[in-house]
Amino acid sequence: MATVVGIDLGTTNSLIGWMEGERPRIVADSITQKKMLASAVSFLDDKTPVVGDAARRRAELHPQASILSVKRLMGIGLEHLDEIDRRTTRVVDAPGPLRITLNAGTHELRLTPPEVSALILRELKRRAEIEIGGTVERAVITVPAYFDDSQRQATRDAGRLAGLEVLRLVNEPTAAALAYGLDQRQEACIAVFDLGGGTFDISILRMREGLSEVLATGGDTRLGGDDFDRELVSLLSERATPSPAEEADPRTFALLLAAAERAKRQLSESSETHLEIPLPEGTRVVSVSRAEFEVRTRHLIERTIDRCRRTLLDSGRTATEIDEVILVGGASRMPAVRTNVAAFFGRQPLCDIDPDLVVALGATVQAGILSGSNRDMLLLDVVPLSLGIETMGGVFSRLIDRNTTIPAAARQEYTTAVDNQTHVEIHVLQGEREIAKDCRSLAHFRIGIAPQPAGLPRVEVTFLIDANGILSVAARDQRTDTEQSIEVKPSYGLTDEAIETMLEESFDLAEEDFALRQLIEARVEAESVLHTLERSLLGHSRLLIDDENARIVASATTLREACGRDDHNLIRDLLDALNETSSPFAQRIMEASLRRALESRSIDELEGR
Amino acid sequence: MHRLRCTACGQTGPAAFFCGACEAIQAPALQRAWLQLLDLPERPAIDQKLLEKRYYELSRRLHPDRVQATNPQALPTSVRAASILNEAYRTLRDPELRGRWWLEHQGGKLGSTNSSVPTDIAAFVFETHETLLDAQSSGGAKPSESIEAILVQVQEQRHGHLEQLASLLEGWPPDAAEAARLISLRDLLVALSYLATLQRDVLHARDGLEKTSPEPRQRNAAGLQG
Repeated sequence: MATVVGIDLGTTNSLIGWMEGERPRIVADSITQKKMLASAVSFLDDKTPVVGDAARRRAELHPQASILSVKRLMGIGLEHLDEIDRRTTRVVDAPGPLRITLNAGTHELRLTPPEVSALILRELKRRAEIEIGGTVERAVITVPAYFDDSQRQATRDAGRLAGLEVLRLVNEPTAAALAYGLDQRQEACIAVFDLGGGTFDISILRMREGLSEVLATGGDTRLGGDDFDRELVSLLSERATPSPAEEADPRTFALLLAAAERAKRQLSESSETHLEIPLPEGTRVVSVSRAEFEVRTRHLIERTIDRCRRTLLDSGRTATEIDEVILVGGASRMPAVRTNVAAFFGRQPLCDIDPDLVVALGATVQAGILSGSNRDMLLLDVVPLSLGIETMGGVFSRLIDRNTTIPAAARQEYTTAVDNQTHVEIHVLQGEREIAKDCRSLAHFRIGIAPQPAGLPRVEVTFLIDANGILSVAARDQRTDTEQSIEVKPSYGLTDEAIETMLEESFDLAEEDFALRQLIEARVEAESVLHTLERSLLGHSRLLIDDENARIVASATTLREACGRDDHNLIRDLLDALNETSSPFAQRIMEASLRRALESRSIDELEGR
Repeated sequence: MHRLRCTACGQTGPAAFFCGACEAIQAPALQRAWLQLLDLPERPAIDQKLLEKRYYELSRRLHPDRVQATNPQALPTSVRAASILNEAYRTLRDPELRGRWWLEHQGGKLGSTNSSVPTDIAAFVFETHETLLDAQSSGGAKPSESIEAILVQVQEQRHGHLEQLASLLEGWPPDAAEAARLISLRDLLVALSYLATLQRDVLHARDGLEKTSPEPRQRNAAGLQG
């Protein structure tokens, strides 16, 4: 049986793994040896897509041509976008599936979130094929446990658009538990706290003899490390920009966001950080302390703990019955997260396995189960949200409750109200609220019925949620025992026809062309370095000594010329040369900035601020 | 003994998840046959350990993830079979849901008719709600302590009723469905359902959570609550 890969399609970073014999192994990029691929896509002026770190770096200079955190947009509608989404992403203001607008040079591109995710998946697939030395066609992809049916469908569509048969969608916290469960033999009750870039999940599982049974799962698909970054953005803009972050232009906002991400990482290591932010109006240095950061983000952490409380209640366990707590996701590295989680569960969380890799490792274990190479383990997962239908008066009537083990089915009988009625409309929703309009609409199903007097037909409709948490609907006329036709209108997803069209029109990643890829990455990096340098030369000219300016400018000019040619080695060499020439200057800027930051702080302190 | 025709080989045999003749996976949509499908004795009291063992054994054989690797053609059947197994397990492991299922399949009409609230329970529920409101609005130094005390009371009541339910199901005579027994079963289930709602209200009050929509228990109990 051909290799099945496991993929963690994350908000910020994505990874891919495969089973090398008995153990899961994460693929490293053949050139950089890095395992994490930035979940960023940027389009060059000729519409060529760039994926990964190069795209993330490019996003700082070309926000209009780039998209980060596309996972936040998967399977949702225009009305679900929040204020910040609308600021960071331009979308086509029209009904139907959400489309993102990007500008690549003079071209305007309109892409659905699954198409963007497919580019990331293709890059992962490409990397895996190099490492494994064969083609990869089937995959297990992880999704946040709290993803609803539309978000899951969107992820599966992305796989299909990337040329992957998605054998299974696995919930991220469950995957993490599987990775830990690989070496776990005795019975244990486990809580997985998964705070990723854009989503939060909490799951309670019972593990025994290779069987992982999810007892309850909860979370928030709109809460993650990104929200912490955004709090930092507003904090930074209070100190660095004249107008608040909400009013900043896209360029400034992108630069603040990049600085916020750096600050967040540094504040996990140290109690204070000094940041240099290369704003269009000049470089600013801002210092932020961990305590300030924690005050600003306390409400976010409280939201996660509130979810933990509810989910524990659903699982029927108490905090003292939890044997282990596992932390997953890059954002769980924040010290405040650790202390709060430890306090809630009354025990120190485990993080033996790298929180960045653990989900991908678990997805790979599940890939092993599905390909038959792992016969000991089995996963019994649950549906995260209740599923039901709209009944008379717009009331949501639940058919399958949240935390029901999947596969799960429910049946409902329908009849007709008027003579010769030829169909019945069924509106399927997902959520925990009482009123249909407060729940997420999944799809409208139209069941065809042979014309008969009113009340005579008896159509039994079966709602079936498969092991992926994805819904299918079947209808059967009880009197004639015949299968009824069903027409599906997804509320946010793509129709099969739309996917076929996209597959035909899809962008060709220059997949096997190493040289081209290296060239693109080298150019992007050169562009970014040249841009920063230009700003520094303008803003800090008084820090230049002797003939330094002339030497740097000469070196920069040679590099800029090389970017017009196709030799990536030359660009790399010239980049190194430029870095060397300019590094004393950069060093002086850093020192000066630090000095200024410290001085301004001591003035603040003197003035008793 | 419930019997079924195999969808693969056409042989008729005892209803089971695997055909006795050809071993093909079956998805028998027969709620009444759950105990037989799980190879458990036909009585409403259940050995939890044995139920769990059977559930895990069967899951390992018919879960779609396992079938995907070994027998991909049987995948659609296995999804339906697993959904039946999951529903049976979810119902049978919970004494209240199991009691309700038993009532529905043994009690015939009785299982679906409405019944009134037992007066002692109605009074208890009413009083508890009053005390809860007092505790919340008193603004006293320790509202959480008085809520905790209410919670203990409710839990004790529920616990007592659950014990009654367990002994009623345990002492259920084979092949008997006397009306008196069925009526006490129905009354107990109604009381338990009220107490479950009450316990949830108290828990939500304690944890400061807003009320969420009713839990499965109450929804399924709609026919019983009247």
